[in-house]
Amino acid sequence: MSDAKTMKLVITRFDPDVDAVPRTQEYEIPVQPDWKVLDAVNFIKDEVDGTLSHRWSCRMAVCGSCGMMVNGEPKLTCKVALSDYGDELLIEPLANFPVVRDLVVEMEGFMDKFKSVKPWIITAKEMAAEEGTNRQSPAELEVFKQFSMCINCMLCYSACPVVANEPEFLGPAAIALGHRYNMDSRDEGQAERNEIFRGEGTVFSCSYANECSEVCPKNVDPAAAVNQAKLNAVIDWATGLVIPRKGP
Amino acid sequence: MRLYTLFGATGIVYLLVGFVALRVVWNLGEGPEAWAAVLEQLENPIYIAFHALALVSVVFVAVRFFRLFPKAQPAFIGPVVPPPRPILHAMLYAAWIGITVVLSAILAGVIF
Ligand code: FES
Repeated sequence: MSDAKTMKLVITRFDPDVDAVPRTQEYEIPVQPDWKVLDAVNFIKDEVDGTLSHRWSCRMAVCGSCGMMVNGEPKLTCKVALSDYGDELLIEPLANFPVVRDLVVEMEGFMDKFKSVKPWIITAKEMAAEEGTNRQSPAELEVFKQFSMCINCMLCYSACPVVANEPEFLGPAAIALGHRYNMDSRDEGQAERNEIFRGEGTVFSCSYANECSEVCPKNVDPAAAVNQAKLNAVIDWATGLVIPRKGP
Repeated sequence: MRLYTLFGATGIVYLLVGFVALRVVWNLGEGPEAWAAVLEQLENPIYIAFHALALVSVVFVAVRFFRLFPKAQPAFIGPVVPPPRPILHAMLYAAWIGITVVLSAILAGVIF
């Protein structure tokens, strides 16, 4: 700890059994120059206050579980360096989500939104094993690859002004995931998903603030996906007027 | 302030521009003296500053739109493949500059 300097972390605390509303608690801790924000929170948990609750797992921006508000911005805390900030840091749970405890937010509604876009390959007929594998060219993969890089960190929901005002909004990551399957050359479920996308509280609720893409730690660009999905949903609807759909 | 808040706030400027435009048109209908009076008022530094703000707002909204529009195009729209994003960007700016030049020429009396 030779290079240690100290830093003040102001952290939101909330115990639903005790607190009516969230409060903050200050921690003055020694920090290392190469620490990420998550390292500082882990230090508090391990060395200072074991009652602090937060989520994390991989420490390499892969699992998506360590999202928190850092000085008011949604960040993946294992990805942002502590040295990017001054001597004081405000750490809160992700905005726009109900808080379970301290920095842990409720994910159930988020997961339900994911399921609702049918995030799997839909085919009219299952391929028999002896028919071989589904082939896909690199060019076909490139069309949706970017949208498949999402790690479900929920930062985009935290940044989205529409989610803030309309919690039922399907939201950036779920729509990006649905769009990812719609753009997959192996998939035949576009009509089903576009039907969902034309429903209330989905793609047309998006005001294209682009905040989701600004905060995405994996450069998925959910705002692009949502707005591409808008156009596809309209084209699909217009096509359906001219060419009757096949029966189920 | 976040960028999208600023973007939304430009709506207030456009609303005020609408009121000013209505007032100018109203004065035009009131006869030559009212028209001359409103033209003189428009030379007031407050009006000039307001119109400068309106210009900045329009440029901000246009640049933001040009930045966001290309990526809203899917990789393919049915059988049609949209041009690559840099080309779309260039096309939008070319159209903007072209329309501005034509409108300026019309207002300056160079054409028509
Ligand atoms: S701990 Fe896994 S993404 Fe941060």
